[in-house]
Amino acid sequence: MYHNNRLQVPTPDALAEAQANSETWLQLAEVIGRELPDKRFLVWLENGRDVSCQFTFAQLQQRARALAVALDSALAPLPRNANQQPAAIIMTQPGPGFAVAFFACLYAGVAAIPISPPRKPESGARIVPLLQDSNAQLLIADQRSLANLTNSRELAGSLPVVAVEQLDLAWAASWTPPAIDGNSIAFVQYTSGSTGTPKGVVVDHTTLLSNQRVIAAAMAHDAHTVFVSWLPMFHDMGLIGCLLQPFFLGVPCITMAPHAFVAHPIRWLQAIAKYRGTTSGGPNFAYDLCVARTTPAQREALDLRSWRVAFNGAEPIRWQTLARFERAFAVAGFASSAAYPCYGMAEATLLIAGTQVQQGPAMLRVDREQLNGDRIVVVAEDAADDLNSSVLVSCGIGYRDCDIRIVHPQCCELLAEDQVGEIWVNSSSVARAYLNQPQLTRATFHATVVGDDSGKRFLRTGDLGFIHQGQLFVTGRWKDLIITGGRNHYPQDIEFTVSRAGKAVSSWQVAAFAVEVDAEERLVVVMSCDPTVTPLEPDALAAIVVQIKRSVTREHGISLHDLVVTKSRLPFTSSGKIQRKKCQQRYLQGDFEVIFALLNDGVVNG
Amino acid sequence: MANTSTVPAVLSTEPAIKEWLVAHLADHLKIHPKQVVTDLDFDNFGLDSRDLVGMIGQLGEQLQLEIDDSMVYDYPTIDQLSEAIANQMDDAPL
Repeated sequence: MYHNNRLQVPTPDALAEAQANSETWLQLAEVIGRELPDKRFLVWLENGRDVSCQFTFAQLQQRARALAVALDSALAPLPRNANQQPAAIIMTQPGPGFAVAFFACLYAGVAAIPISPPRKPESGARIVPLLQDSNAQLLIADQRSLANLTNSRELAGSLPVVAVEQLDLAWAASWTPPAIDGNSIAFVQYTSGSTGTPKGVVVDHTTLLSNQRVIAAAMAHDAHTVFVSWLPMFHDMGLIGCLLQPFFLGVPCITMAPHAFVAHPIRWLQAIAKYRGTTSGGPNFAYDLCVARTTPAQREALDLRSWRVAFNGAEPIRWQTLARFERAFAVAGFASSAAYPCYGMAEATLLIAGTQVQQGPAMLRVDREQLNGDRIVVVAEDAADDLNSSVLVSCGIGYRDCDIRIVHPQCCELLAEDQVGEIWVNSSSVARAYLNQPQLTRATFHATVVGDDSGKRFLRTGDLGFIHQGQLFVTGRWKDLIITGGRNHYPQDIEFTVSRAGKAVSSWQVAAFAVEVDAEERLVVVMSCDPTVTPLEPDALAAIVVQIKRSVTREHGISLHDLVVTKSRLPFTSSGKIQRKKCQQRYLQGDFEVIFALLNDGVVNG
Repeated sequence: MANTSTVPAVLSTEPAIKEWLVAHLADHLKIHPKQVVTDLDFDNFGLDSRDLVGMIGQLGEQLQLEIDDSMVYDYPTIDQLSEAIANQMDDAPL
């Protein structure tokens, strides 16, 4: 199966030199294409099981060059701004077509803007703000994604569409290298930002390569690394971590669609076993899903001994999840030392901190009351008491030039070890800016620590945490983000959706926030009915609730755990901002005078 | 693709698929099966795509059938989905 890989050994110096010193992704890609042409790179498992497509490095390179030529032709008739790099939105279903499209952008010197493809028919309304914000000149798409956009004709009217399926490999011969350097934009990563104000993180070639070196160092990757991934390729962890990193290393990546994993979690693990995967992972929920959806007999039939780096990131990491997974899959040879909690975000390209490889996760038991007051008091395991203490999982340390500080989020002063504050990061992996958002860029990327005269600029992550004995622990978020399934949801977007669900509720106060249910974050909405308006009849209220559930699921892809309608007024700041943390506390304490609660009434029939 | 030889014939019928879906959703939503309305869009149950794709995967494993996840979007109620899957099973080569 690996005959090509065994025969083909790169000149070690050439590859190592390119990894260490390439200024652009293209320089690296050219060396890899030359040194490892026939080595298998991308394997696509249809349904998560059957190989339906695979590319060697040279095959990917040829396809990327051919599509790059097509991009150039599509751009040629368009007005060109000499100061602005062309940009293309990539909207394809998960699969090798995405990899070709992404690499084609790099080969054409076009800034790639990957977005979540529509899996089902949708209006495409979410794409319009991205088009406007990014000034993209092209849309690279596949037929299925276009067919799922009900307004694709309008979109196509506004910008040329390049179809990934219509590719003539002969075009590759006429490819010429674009004039780019390390400062050129490699891609723009739209974070699941508030839909009203899309936030595109600008990653240039220098920054992208810097983070590739960080990931390789942090996870101790080498020429024997084998990736297995089901993560979405359009998003940072799947793209930077599981498509670009194996390419950077010159090693194979075995990939499948996210929906194939969710439908059949066992197939992810079977792929790791079959292809002797060494690095693979996902958000916390993925590990819970594997435990919930596999049988002891299935686990026993697996051999996971090759799995060295089982990364866990993008969602809060639960020690219970790590423990359950380890217990369940010990029979398959899964080593507890393989669990690899880590921390990162698109604003830092991807990885910020990670555990030391093969050390396993470090945990810390702390006093819960003190933690709620932002202080860390370590509790000895033998004096442990689950009611009054919490177990936190370390996200490890920063790598290479990464400088992590804990800073008071309001007065911006440095905090001492064991004090909880906002996590700030300075490193050459921190992205340049949010696209076309100078104010937000300054506030987020150019923060300075009070009393620090070095002029060092920091990224404000918006996450809260502390450092204990050199290790980073993440405790929560300063902002009110709701994170489920590894995706960020902005509460104001959900509140907006809720308010629009019906005329009767448009003047109600709304707060959306997350609560922890069975070690997962779930969405709760509290609404305060307008006291000046006649109360709703129960039937009318029930109809509104159905509408809200439907809208929230449709527009945000997130299910509502509970919806409470109360007569009590919701807490606001003096400047009129909703206080979501306070709403969450009052909800958990049962402090609202409840008129209607979804959880208590069960399902509401339409 | 489909290997129905070891699936009890009774499970592959439309009423049996419907019954499985009702039981699955009742369990998932922690409600009584009688409360699960079979001609209501899945959206109305507040199920997100992860719930739906997981459901279709589990049903496929029960039936030993590869079911494309897009079926939950093309046939968005229990009634429609069970009919469509039963038809797919009839068409599948043994």
